Amino acid sequence: MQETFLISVVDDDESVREALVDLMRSHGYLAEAYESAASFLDSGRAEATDCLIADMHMPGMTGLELHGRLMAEGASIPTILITARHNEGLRARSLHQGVCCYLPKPFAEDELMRCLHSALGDRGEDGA
Amino acid sequence: MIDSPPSMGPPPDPAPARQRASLLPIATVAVAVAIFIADTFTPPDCIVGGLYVVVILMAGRFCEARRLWQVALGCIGLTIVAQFLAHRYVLENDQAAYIGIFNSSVTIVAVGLSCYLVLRGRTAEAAMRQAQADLARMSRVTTMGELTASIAHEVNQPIAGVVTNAGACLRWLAADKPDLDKAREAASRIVRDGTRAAEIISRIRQVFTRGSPEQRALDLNQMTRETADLLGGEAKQRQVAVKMELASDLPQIVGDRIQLQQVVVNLIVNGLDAMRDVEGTRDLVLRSRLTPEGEAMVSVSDTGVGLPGPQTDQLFDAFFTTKPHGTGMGLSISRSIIEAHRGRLWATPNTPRGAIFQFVIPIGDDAQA
Repeated sequence: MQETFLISVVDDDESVREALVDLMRSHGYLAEAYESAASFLDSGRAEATDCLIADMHMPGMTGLELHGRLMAEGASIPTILITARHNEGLRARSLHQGVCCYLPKPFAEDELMRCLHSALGDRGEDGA
Repeated sequence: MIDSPPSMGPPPDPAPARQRASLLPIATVAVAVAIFIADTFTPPDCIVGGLYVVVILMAGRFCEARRLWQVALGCIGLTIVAQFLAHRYVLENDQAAYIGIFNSSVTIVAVGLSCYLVLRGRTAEAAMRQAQADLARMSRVTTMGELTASIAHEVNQPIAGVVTNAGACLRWLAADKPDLDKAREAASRIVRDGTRAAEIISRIRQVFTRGSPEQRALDLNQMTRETADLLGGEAKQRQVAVKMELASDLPQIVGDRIQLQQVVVNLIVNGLDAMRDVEGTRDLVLRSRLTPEGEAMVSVSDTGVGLPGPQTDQLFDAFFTTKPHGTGMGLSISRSIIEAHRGRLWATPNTPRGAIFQFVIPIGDDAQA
């Protein structure tokens, strides 16, 4: 059942990107890595993605802008926003714009998994 | 061998400046007397008394507010006396007396006004100086705040990698059929990310100590004296007596003047901060001497709160601080700078109270090699 979920990780930082993809796979999910919002949009994998884990500060488009863009296109994907430059303003703004989780780096694994489960659960309830 | 023994307190000011300072009141009195005589004997339509403004301006250089008003009252008194004497003994007719009274009134107003303006200018100047100091402090805090945020960001990335990789590694190992290859890959990413975090820290240190230090012959005594002058105002404001015991036989060393000055500034500011809340003696003593090992030594001792006991060595670690608003970078950077000069920086307790921070730097051929 779990294998069917695809988690897309978008982060320009190699350490975090590789680690997240591996962690997702160790939990039995399918995971794909993208180093920028543009490369994710170009991949055409947005449709298939069940949950998006996106970094906030990336060259080009931020994670929050990516989330907004996907929402505007009607391809609303539950998004977990992660950031190494945490501030409360950003947290409030993110949650207000419909991001389902905001996690300052470094975050604990169970925190991330709790976010992921709630993101996937919501989607399941939506009947996807 | 030593400039001034401890009992003699701070070294004497440069003599000419002090002489000038003590001559000014005498000159002011002389000018006032000259104006008084001229005012009495010149015709009443010469408004010589107006020159009392000069007396006010001169007195403004060395008098505090209350004394300056007394000087102004003195000038007004002299104006009235001169008018009275002129009327009694010098003037021929009443019309001249009226002109004299009018001119004396102008003089009195001029003296009063100039006194007021001098004092007002002084208040404005003090406010401006305060604003400048606040601004400098604020920009320092802001810079440090920004710096801390960007350091935190830089270091958080690889640390997030380490934490997440460790989670993945544990999961690969905990599976029903442990996947050792995957676990090994995750572990080696932990090593890579940990190394990266360490490299970021060392790069930040390099930014502070900026490359290889400039190599110039330099007089540590002179540098120490200048730095103490620089911070003299701050020390005075905090009621700290700064004393210097500088060895006259201290040879020059080779090094980067700006960097070493940064170290001394840091040690002095630390000393002042340490004495912020202590009662009683607040002494900051700057010493220099030539060690038997042939190194130049500079020390800064205070009578402040002292060293944090067993944590003393941690004082030199980055981000370790005992101050409520400290960044924990000062001593760490200072030690990096001294080590870049092939020297050592360390702390010992002062008696009966406080701390001594000292550094040594090799001198002569050794340093040039």
